[in-house]
Amino acid sequence: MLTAAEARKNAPLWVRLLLPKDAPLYQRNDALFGWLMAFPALLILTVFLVIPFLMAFVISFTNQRLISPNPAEWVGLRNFERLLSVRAFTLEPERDDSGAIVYQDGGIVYPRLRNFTRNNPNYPELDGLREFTSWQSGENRTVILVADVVFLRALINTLVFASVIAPMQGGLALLLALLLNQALPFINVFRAIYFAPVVVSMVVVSLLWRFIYDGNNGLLNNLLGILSFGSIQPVDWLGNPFTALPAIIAMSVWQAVGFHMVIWLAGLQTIPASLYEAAGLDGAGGWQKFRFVTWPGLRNTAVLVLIVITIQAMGLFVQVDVMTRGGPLDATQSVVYQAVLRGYEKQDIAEGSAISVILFGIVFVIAMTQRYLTRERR
Amino acid sequence: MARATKTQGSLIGQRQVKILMDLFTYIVLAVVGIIFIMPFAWMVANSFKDIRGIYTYPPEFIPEVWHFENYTEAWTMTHFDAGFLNSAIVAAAVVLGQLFTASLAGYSFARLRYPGRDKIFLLYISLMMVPFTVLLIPLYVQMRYFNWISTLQAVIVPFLFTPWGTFMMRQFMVTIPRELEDAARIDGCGFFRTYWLIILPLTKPALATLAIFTFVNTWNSFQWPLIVLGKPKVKTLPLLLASFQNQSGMRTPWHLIMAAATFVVIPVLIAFVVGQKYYVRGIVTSGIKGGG
Repeated sequence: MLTAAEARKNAPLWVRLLLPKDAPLYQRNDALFGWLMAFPALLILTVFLVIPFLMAFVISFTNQRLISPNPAEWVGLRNFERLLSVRAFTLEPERDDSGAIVYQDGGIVYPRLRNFTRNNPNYPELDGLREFTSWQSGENRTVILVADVVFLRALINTLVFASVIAPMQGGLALLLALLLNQALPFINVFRAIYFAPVVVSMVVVSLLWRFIYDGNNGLLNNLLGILSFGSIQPVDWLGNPFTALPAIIAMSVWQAVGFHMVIWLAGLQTIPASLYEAAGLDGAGGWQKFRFVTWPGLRNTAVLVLIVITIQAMGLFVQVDVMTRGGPLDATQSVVYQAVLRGYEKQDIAEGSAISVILFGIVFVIAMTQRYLTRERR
Repeated sequence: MARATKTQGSLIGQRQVKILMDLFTYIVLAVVGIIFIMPFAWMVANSFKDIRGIYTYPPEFIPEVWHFENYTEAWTMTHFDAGFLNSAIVAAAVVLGQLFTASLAGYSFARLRYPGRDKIFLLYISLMMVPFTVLLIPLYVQMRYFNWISTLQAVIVPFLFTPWGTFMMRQFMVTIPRELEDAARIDGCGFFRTYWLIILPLTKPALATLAIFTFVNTWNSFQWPLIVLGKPKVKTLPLLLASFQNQSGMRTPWHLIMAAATFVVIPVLIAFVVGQKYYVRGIVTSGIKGGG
């Protein structure tokens, strides 16, 4: 241990001059150099993370546009209302003078929706809203009206993407990890092969799979054709609104499953072999060992893997940008794709920032859930 | 005891069961392996075909005629030489910068005692939770303000820090015995020289992990460069590759795109093969990245 006197003697001249003489010098030395060494990281962090992060919130409450002659104004929550407002509205059937429901072509006739949503003084709250979806309830029709159809589509797509991909990718990664967690020759070669897509750029992967998913002579259609002896007709995987998002999900799982496989493997290796031996002596079979030894030992890893996948999935962008540009019929719109489209391409940075803030809110809730689930139990 | 005799008495012994099980495992491993390898094999195979060859049925994994000229054609068509240089500059700068800031800050957080240190450290790593996509728009506004649009510093400077890497450095440095440092200090080394001569050489495995992880991420990075690098001469490889598909009007030149994709992948594959051990370790640590 260094004494104060030694430290004082070793300190550079300018440190000795700069600091007052009371209090042990080695402590002041530590403080000075501590801050000095952390400074480059803290400076860049502040300028390029903390400030933009705070700016995102500030801008989202304004009507700022990138190139605009007018100064920005505070608009409160208007951007968020525009993005998120959803209303249910019930349409009652048209009735003739006797009060009977009017039918036409075998269906009930309803008043036109636009009578309510376009400048109708009796329904100011519906002004400017558009139909998102509707269904029949008795003789009435319930219509879900939203202000921003495309954003809501993007939000739903992203949530669907995340909630499908999390169990699927996490589960397959666990299966691969269990398969690889054996002492066999060449097992490392297989680990490297399963892992390879992770290091490859998502742009390359997206282009490659666009090629494979090609509607006419893509590899996938050709292979399905051969395996089914021609009975499966070619599918335009990315051009069909029903298959586009599932196709992107399948590709994304293929690309990143190796990443989570490695996390599972690390989790598996923390389980002591003695537990398996003890279970074996008690007569446990393979499934029982998994159920009562492996799975409980992987609890925190499971939460971690699911949360990491979910947070990554919320940022869905590259696949959409390279493969579908949000189409067909908005079937692959995503939140981040919309944020970039509006904030950057349409230069409406207020709306882009509001989308970023909504995204942060969702990610924050997910991360807090993880903290809650993995908290230390007493 | 009864169980043991039963197994020994059965027709196939435990040894044979084990061999059969292993064989089954290898078959499953191989089938899964094909699913992972086939798309890449398809990419490389088509990079050597001509435009008619890629649409043949049934699909050919070995081209009839090898068109090596696809590679030179793809290379010149999109100015990949400039792209390679840009990507290399950006990756090198970001890797070196992160190694420097993360190891310095990590040393400070691990070793030097000063008031408020642990609070700053906690704040620092809690920022790992902020997903980059949240910063996309405001950071773009900031880059315009700095006049950095379409310059390489826009994709370098904002990434010269890493909460995750700093965390890893700190955790690693905490395990280095303090006696080594004290000895150096008594011999007259200052803080910076102690860090440079004693700590850094001992931190090599963690530095290697951070370096390879950052290299792969930076080399592959697409979203942020797409927004700030508008001019063709500053574009990095993933941007050039993505713009390739929209370029030529008639038919998508898939054979050339596959050739271009192949040489974009080669540097990361080399990095991965060389440093697989460190890369995998990085992922295990990055579990913390999810916010923990």
